[in-house]
Amino acid sequence: MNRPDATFVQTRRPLDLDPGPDPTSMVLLDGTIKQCLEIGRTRLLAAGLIFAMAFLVVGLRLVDVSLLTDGNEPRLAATPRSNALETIRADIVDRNGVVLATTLPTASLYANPRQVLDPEAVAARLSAALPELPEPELAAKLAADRSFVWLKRKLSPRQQHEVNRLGIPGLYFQHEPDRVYPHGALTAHVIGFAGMDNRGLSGIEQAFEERLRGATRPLALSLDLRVQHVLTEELATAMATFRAIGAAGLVLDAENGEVVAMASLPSFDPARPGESDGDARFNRASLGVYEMGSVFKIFTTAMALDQGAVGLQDGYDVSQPIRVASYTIRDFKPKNRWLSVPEIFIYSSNIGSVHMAMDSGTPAQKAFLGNLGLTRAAQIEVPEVGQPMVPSPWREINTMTISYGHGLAVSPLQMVGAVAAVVNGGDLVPATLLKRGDGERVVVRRVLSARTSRDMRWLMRLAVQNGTGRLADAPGYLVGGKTGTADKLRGRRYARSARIASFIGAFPMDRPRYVIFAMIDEPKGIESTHGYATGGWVAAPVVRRVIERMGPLLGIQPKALDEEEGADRHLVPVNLKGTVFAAN
Amino acid sequence: MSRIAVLVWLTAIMVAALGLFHVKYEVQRLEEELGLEHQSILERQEAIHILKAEWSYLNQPARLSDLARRHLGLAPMVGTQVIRLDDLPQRAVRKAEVPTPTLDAILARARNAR
Repeated sequence: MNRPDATFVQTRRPLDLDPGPDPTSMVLLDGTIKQCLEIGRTRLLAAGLIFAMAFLVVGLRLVDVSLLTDGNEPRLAATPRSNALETIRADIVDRNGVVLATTLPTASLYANPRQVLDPEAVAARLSAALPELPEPELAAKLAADRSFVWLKRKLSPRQQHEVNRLGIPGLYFQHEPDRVYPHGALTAHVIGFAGMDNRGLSGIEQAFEERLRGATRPLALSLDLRVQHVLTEELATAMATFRAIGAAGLVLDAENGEVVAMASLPSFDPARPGESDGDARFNRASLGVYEMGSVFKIFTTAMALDQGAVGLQDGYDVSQPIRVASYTIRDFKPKNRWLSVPEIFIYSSNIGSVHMAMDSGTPAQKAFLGNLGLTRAAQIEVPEVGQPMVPSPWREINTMTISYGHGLAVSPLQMVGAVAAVVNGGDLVPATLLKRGDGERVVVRRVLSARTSRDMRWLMRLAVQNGTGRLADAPGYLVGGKTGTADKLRGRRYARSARIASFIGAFPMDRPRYVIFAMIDEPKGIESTHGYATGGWVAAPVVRRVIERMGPLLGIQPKALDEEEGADRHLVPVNLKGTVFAAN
Repeated sequence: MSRIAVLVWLTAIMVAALGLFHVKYEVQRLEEELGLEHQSILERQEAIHILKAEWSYLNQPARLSDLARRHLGLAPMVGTQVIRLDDLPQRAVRKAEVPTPTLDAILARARNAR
């Protein structure tokens, strides 16, 4: 207002009277001042409007929040997560939800030696409570000039209680999670084990390290603990009876490839893997590769039938041993006559099998066994997978020996996968240790025709009814299968006394649900088997008992015995014990 | 007039303040309670977790079969023991309808028997 260019025009006003509003008593503004005032007023108005709007909004919101909106607590409250227990490693359960591996809190004992008043006395009392801790060692630890020393990791609750009861000052517990395997040795090879830092070191624990770490959702395996137990128990019985050095067994769902049981003996305690030797930790079922012997005749026969190299009516004269190079191929129990293809199969004739393989040819055999997954390592979740020993080059002599299961070493896992494909209609399904969904079925490829598969089912049934696998027959379950006895390689020679006795079977043969494999490593003949330690005497009874026990468990309806006659048959000449009968 | 208004407002402010503090302490108490509840839920879940492991341990098939052998005298079932409903023989003849005896008749028979 004191600008030099401001011009005030004030009219004179007498003080003694109230003139009322004087039309002339106005401040007349013009020029720059007027302009400034105008701008100021406009700005004030604009700011006022904005604030008015803001207050209006706040007021409306206030009304909305306090009067209109429901005055209750907010519907979504942030609650601390308490519905899931945080474990550092997820459980592993079997197909029925039985806990196979879990993580439990355990207490580890440590001491602050600076707070321990009398190390000698404390050591004496402590080693009385925990006898596995030697007293002098304890005393030395407790006398050390440190503020922390581990005394014992992962105490059991009982041990923790004992130590607590002593009430010694300077001793403390540190809570640590520990991996626990409630079924111990029973599932040791499949589950594997985790180390001190709870990191998986073998089996499923190693394969699913990422999946298990920090997760809470349990991992469901395809194993059925009950079947696993039945298989393990029967194998252990056979192992003890025949004084064998080991055994392996598998139960595979023929339809979807689920491994229902996988056993390898001897086994080990997964809580203390360091105390077992390497042989016990070795998984014979998936890592071990063996020359399987006559069970391979399943593939030889299936191949010859599928390619039309032979028909069920055909046969060979098996009276003459086959001489190739320096080898002589003989039959274990020579029949010395013409045998039909079914007879060759059920009597397990090596000579007949060699003829069938030679009629199919080496390339065909290589392709067929390759299709069945027998020439490449099996695909399974656990890292312990054995590489098959495939002859290279694959000569004619190899074709001959492989036809009856020598010269190609495969793992039991590959074996059951291939047999499942032979009996389930001809589809190779990948074996898995994880539980599949209902009706879920993955097919890798078709390996043989449905017709061949049907013929093979019938041949395998016949081998159990009338052939070498008679001891595997569990009444009512239509068991079919093939025995195998293979001499083990000792260096470059076959050992006569050390052999692998095996049986591979499936049931029920009219629509196979399960393929079962049992293998006994180096069985010795006993009196009740007339000194025999062959697949038919050693492994076949194991499979029978496993089927008898697992059938009711898994709800498989046994057939009435007379119904078996209705199973599909073909008209083929089968000479059984001198009487030729035409199976129909 | 204005004095009354001031009094009214002061009272209102005090009531509101008291109410606010009351609510605040109530919320604090409830939150403590909630924390304790969560704590005990976790403890219980841990207990359940341990009990599940123990349950699995106690259900070791070998242990169960040993117990069954020692205390129940049961043996594994075989296929021939299973029979279907259709395989059961039909009931031969349907007996003629027998009238349900009345209570008096039953008592009378019991008395006679004695």
